[in-house]
Amino acid sequence: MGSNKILGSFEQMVLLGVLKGGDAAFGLEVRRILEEDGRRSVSRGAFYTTVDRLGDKGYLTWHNERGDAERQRMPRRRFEVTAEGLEALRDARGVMDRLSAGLEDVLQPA
Amino acid sequence: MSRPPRWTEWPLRAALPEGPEGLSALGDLREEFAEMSRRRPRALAVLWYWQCCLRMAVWYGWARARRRESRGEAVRAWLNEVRIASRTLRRDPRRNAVPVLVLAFGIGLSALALTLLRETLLASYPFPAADELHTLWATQLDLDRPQVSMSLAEIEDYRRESTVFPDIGVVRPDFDAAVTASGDADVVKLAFVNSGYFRVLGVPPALGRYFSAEEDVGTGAHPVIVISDRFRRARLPDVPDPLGEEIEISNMRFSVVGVAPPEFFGPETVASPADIWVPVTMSPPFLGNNIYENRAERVFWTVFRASSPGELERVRLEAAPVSARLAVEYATDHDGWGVRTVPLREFVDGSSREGAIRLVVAAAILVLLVSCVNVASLRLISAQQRTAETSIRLALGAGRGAMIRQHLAESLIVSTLAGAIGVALAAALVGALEGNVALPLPAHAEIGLDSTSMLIALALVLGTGVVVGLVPAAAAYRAGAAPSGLLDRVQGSRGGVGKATRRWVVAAEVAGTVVLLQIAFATLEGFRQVTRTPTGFETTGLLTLRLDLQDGRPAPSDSAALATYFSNRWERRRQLAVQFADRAPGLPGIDAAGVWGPSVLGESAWHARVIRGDLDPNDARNIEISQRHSITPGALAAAGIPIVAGRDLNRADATDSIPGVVVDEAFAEHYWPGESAIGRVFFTLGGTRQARVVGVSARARHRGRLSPENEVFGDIFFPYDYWPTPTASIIARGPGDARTRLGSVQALLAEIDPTVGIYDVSPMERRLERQESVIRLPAFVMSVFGMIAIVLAATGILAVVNHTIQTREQEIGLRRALGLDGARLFSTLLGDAVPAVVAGALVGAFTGAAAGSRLVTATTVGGAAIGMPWSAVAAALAGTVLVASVAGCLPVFRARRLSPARLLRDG
Repeated sequence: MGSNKILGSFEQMVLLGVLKGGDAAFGLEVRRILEEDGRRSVSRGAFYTTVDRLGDKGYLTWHNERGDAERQRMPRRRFEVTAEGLEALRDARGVMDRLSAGLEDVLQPA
Repeated sequence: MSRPPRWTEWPLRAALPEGPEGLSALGDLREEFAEMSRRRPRALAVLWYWQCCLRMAVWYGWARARRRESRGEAVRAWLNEVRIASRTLRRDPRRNAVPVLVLAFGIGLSALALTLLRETLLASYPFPAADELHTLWATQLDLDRPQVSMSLAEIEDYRRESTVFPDIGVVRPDFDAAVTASGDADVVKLAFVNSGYFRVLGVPPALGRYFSAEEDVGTGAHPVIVISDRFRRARLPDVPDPLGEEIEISNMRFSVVGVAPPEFFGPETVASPADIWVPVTMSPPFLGNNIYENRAERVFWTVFRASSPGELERVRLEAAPVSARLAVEYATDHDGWGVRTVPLREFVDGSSREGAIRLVVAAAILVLLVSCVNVASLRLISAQQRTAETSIRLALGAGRGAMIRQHLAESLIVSTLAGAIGVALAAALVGALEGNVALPLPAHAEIGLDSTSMLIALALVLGTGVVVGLVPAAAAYRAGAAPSGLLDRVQGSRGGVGKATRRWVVAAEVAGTVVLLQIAFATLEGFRQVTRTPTGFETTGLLTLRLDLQDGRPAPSDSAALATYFSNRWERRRQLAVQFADRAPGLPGIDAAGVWGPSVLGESAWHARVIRGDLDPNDARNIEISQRHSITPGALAAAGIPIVAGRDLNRADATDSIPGVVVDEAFAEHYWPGESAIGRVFFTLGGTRQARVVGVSARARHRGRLSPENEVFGDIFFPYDYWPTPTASIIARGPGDARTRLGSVQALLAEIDPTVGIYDVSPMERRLERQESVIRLPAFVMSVFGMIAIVLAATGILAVVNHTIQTREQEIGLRRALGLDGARLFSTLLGDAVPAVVAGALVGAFTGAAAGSRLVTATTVGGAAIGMPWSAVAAALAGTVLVASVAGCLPVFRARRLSPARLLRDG
C-alpha cells in the first residue's frame, strides 16, 4: 500500500460517516453525522476536498442525483464506500486495536 | 425559494473542480443557504453564504495545490502556455504592438505618478517619532488670520509658562543673503534658528555638531553656522572636511561647525529649504531691528514635541492664560491674538502643493485605467477572432484552466513588454524634466526612478496583465462552460460572446476619457485665467534685481551701541536709494528707475498694522493688516502703475512730521468708500505712528497673480527715506531688451556703494513666469494626459467598429447586394457603439462634474483655486464625442467602398 493509500483520521471519519448515512449518505447528511457523532465542527472545504480525495483513492464512489429547486437544480451526490474503502477502514481499525491492546486501563474513560 | 446573489459565488466557482463534483458541493451550500434564509434575515444569510464561499474557495485552492504531483507540473503548464502565447502574439506583431504601446503609456505614467506620491504625501518623515512634532502659531481670528508667525518675545513667554514643552525650536526662514564660499559668491537661503530647533527635530548631524544652548545667548557673539548637505555638495565639493571652513555671509565671516544629513528638512522647507542655519543670536545684523524685544516682529516659526494627545491638550490649556495675560500686559501687540498648534506633517504637506500632486496622481491612474480598458477591449477582440482555435483546443481536451492560463499568459507578455517600454518612457520624462522644469514639490522630495519605482512598475505590470487578461479569460471560461455552442463557433458562426462586454468596454473608455478631459480643460482654464489676470504692472522692458544691503559689520552686544549701529545702517540704505533714484533716470537705456523695498512682486512681503484715522489707535481690535512697501519717488511710474488721484511721493514726504504715503485704490476704497482719500490721516505701526495720504495708485497684484487677491486689504507705499528696508529691489525701465540696462545699473551702484551685493537679476516678465511655473506643470501634465486619453479612446472605438465590420462582412455584403443604402449601413454597424458612447459620455460627464469637480475645486494649484467650469464639461463631451464619431465612422466609410461581391466572397 503506497503512502497515499494510508487513511488519515479525518478520512476514516468521513468513511464511517458515509457508512452510517446508509441510503441517505448525501453530502449535507454525512457532514451532519460527522458533526453530531464526531462532536466536532467540520469545515465544508475540508469535507468536500476529503471526499474528492477518497474518490481519487478509490475508497469512495457516488451517484449523481438531480437536485431540487432549493438547490437550483444543482446535482447532489449520494456517497457509497467501495469494497477497497471498507478494507482500508478495517485495516486502520486493526492497527488501532493492535496498538491499543493491553492499554485498556489507560484508555478507559475516567 | 431564496437564491443567493451570484457575485457571492464567483470566487468559489473559480476554485471548484469541474463537473458534478464541484456543482454538488455548490448545491449543498445553496441548500444550506435556503435553510439559513428561513431562520435569519436575508442580509445576514448572504453574509454567511459569502464567507462560506470564500472559505471553501481557499480550501479547494489549497487542496488543488497539494494534489499536484510537484510544483514542476504547474511551472511546466505555465511555461507551455507562455510558449503558445508568444507564438500567437508573434503571428501578428503589428496588431499586437498597439496594446503594448497603449499600456506602456499607462504603466509608465502611473509608475512615475506613484513614485511621486510615495516621495511626497506617503513619505515617512526622517525624524524619530515624527508624529509627535507640532508647530505653534499665533492667531488673530477676528481678522480671519488663523496662522501667523510669532515674535521671539511671545515664544519665550509661552515656553517659560508651559510645563509641557521645556524645549521649543525656533526658526526664522527664507532669508536671502549673499554668501561667498570657496571664492564664489551666490545668493543662498538662510534660516535663523535656536539650539532647540535641532534638538526638537532629533536628527543627529552628518558631521560636526549643531548649536549649543550657550549659543542662544549673546547677540553677535557666535559667528558659527550649520550647512546643508546640498550646500556642501554644491559649494564645497573639493573640501574634504568642511568643519572649521570660513564662509562669508553678507561680508561677515562664519565658521562651519556642522553639516546636516542629506534628508534633513524642517518647517522652513515650506518657505524654501534652508542651505545655511545661523544662530538666532546672529540675526540682528540681518533682520534689522531688535528682534528680542519687538513683539510686533512676528517672523519666527516654531516646532515642539508632544508625545501624546493629552500632552498636546495641556499645551493648549496652558497657552490660554498666557494669551490672556499678554493681551492685558501688551494690549497693542497682543489684544485679540491667541495661539494654536498644527501638526508638522499637516503644516509641511498642506503647504507643499498637495492638491496638485493628488490631481496629477489621480489623472495618471485614470490614464492607466483607460489604458487597461482599451487593452482589455483589444485582447477581447483578438480572443474572439480566435474562437475557432479556442474551440479546437477545448474539443481536444484542454480544460477551462488551460484556456484561462493562455489568455493570462498573453496579457502578461503584453504587460511585461509594455512595462519595459513604460519605464523607459518614464525615465526619459524624468530626464527631460530634471533641470529644465521647476517641479512644484516639497523640498524633501526627490523624484527619480529607483528600485522602489521598479517594484511599483512590476506590480503595475502584474496587476494590469491580470486585469486585462481577465476579460478574454472570462470569455474563454464561458466558452468552456457552454460546450453546446462549440460546434457553432468551430463552424465560424460569430456568436455573441463578448458583445455586451465590448459595449461596457467602449462605455468605460469614453467615460474615463471624458473625466480626464474635463480635469485637463479645467486645469488649463485655471492656468489661462491666472496668466490672463492683469498684474497692473507694465512689464515690457522692465529690469528687476535685488540688493543685499548688509554692511558686514557685526552688531554690537550693548543696547546703546546697537541703536547707533542701526541708525548708521539706515542712513547708508537711505543714501544709496536717494542717489540711485536721482541719478539712474537718464543713464544709457534707462528712462525711469526706482528702489522698491523689501522687494518688487512680493517675494519678501512685509505687513503693516494700520488703524483708520477716526478710530481709537490704542484699541488693538481696530488693527487691520495691509502690505507695505518702501519706494523712492518715481518707482511707481517706473513699474507702470499710474497715480489715479493726488500725486506721487516726493522727497519732502519722508521728512514731514506726518509722513506722506501713497495708498492703492483698494486701501482707499476700504477706509474711505466713495470719498476722496487725499489728505486723510491713518495710524501705522499698530497705532504708534501716523501717515497722510498724498496719492492713490491704481490696483496692482504686488504679490503676483497666484496669490489670493483678498489676502490683505490694500497696499501702502512709504517713502524709502522714511522706512529704508534691509532688502530692496531695483527696477529700471527703458526701450528694448530689459537686460541691456544691467550694465548701467551695476556701474551706478558700484559708484555709489561698492559693497552692495546684486542678485536675482531678471526681467519682470521672467519673474512673473517663474512664479507661475508652479501651475504651468500641472496644466501641461493634464493636457498631455487628456490627449493620451482621447487617443486611447479613439483606438478602442476604431478597433471595436473594425471588429464588428470584420465579423459581419458576409451579412454586409448580402444586405448591400439587396440594396442596403449608406445611411442604413451606418446605423447597422454603429448601432452597437453609439449607445455605449452616449452612455459612457454621460456617465463621464456626471462623474467628472461631481467627483472630478471636487478633486479640481479642492485643489489649489500654486494658490490659485481652480473650479470645474461648465465650459470644461462641454468641451470634454464635445471633444470625446467628435473623436469617437470620427473613429467609429472611418471603418464604416471603408466598408462602404468595398464591393458587395468581394464582401460576400471574402467574408
